[in-house]
Amino acid sequence: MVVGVRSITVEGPPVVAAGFPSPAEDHYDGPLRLDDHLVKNPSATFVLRVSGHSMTGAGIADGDEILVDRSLTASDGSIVVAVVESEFTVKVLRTNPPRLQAANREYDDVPIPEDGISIWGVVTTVIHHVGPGGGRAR
Amino acid sequence: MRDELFAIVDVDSMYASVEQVFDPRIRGRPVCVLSNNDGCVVTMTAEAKALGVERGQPWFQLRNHPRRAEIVFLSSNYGLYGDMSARMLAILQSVTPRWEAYSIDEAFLRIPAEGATATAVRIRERIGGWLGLPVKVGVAPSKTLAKVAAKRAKQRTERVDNLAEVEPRRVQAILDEFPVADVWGIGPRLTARLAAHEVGSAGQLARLDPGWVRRNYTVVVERTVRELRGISCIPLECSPPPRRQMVHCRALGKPVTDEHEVVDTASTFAQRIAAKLRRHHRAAGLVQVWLSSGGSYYSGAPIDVHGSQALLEPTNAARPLALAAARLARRLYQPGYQYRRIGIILPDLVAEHQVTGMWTTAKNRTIDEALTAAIDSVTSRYGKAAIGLGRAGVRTRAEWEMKQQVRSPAYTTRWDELLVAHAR
Ligand SMILES: [Mg+2]
Repeated sequence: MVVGVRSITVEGPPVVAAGFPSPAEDHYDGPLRLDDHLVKNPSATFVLRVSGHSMTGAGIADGDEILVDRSLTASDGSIVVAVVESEFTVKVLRTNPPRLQAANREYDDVPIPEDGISIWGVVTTVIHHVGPGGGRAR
Repeated sequence: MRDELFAIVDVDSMYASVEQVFDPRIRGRPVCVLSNNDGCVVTMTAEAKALGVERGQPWFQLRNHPRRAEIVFLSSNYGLYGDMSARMLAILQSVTPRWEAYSIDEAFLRIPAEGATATAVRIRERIGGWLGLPVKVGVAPSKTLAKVAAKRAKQRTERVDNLAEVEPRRVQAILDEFPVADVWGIGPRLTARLAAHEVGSAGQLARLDPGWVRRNYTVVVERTVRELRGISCIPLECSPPPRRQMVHCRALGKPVTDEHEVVDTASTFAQRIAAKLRRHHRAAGLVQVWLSSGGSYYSGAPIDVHGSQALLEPTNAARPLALAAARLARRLYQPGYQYRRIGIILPDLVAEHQVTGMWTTAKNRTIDEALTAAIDSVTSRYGKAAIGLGRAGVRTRAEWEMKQQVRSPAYTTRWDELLVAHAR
């Protein structure tokens, strides 16, 4: 572990003090951007906070942040945010028979009625903070 | 040239619709969104309209509404509406780069005439699907006619109307039934003047001689006549013109009668608007203050006064603007009235870099710059109410401050206010 490093942010390629461009400059594409990596469609993507334990089997824990893309069409096996009894609920969509399934054996399936159910969006990514105190830098 | 058309995309009761996207419990219910400080209704759903709620109606009246329990009242959450508006524009950008943001919930687009209706349907579906916002789309050869089409789209199940597809004689009939007061750019004053010339419908307006209209009205009305005839005269403004005017006007949470409070409020508002000026890199050379007892809904003696003062030279520093506003408010104040609205208007803005600084002493300029920098750095970290000149920085004094009693969370802009998805 490196102690005493205060900042490791690199905003650009190293430039030599005298003003000569570094040979790295031509090969520099900019830093990695999590936004670009995780969000395919920014205008349709929303961040939600998970509350509860019914999705732990899918790697979604209580307190996690999930990225929800409203431009995607849900299909069998999609993890979705659906409206159940006027509440946003995160579940796995199953089509045969139509139901919403928890990823935790202790929770029952929610059958989808004849007239359907409102799917708010499809979950694409989970942000799970680790480390002491959830490692959350807020 | 009919190969391109104008489309206007307009969100149905935007603020209420946004609230419904994030709260399933209030879908299908009468929802009213109240102005900034919970003063009056700014948006309501069709369900609320059906209960007789009117736009602009003050909250104190609705408190006694017989069916109040059914109505959902919300404080406005402009951060959230602004975010959804930006998303809508990003979606339009994916359809065509040629769009103009007309208001927070409306945008004009230039789209090819071929397949225009299909394009409009696609836009509606995309905004409806991706954002959950219901929109109507009006398409026509001119902006003014597109606005007419949008009104028609509202009545149709597909929520899209393309006047370019309607045969000309039928368009005439549509315009004959369309009240002139509802025509884009025709306000109540013009409506009254046109009524004197026996013009009551858009069709009658369209049949007037443009030259006669120019001589008897203005070139603006003449343009409207041509636009209604399907000749486009108002082009798309792709980049908004720089702000020429800025207004900070608020209905106060409760009526104010005390002189000090009126003066403090004017000073505080001036500081808010100064911060906004700095964000837009503009400067003001003239300050107007407006005090009002708040319009016909309220009891008590009506008062509506305003005054203006020129500054030595344009500025966007907090101190000179606050001083001018306070001085004006003191001059305008008359005892014995209940003030419910206070506004600061900066009617004539210039670009920040155009200010020469030749009328300001170096000492005052240094003070203003240092003070302004200090205020900006504190407010950017602790919020705009954290510091201010005079009593603006004292929280307890500001009773008129935004009440926002029932504001929804900042779902899309704050990590600690995210929408919750239950896993149970
Ligand atoms: Mg609208």
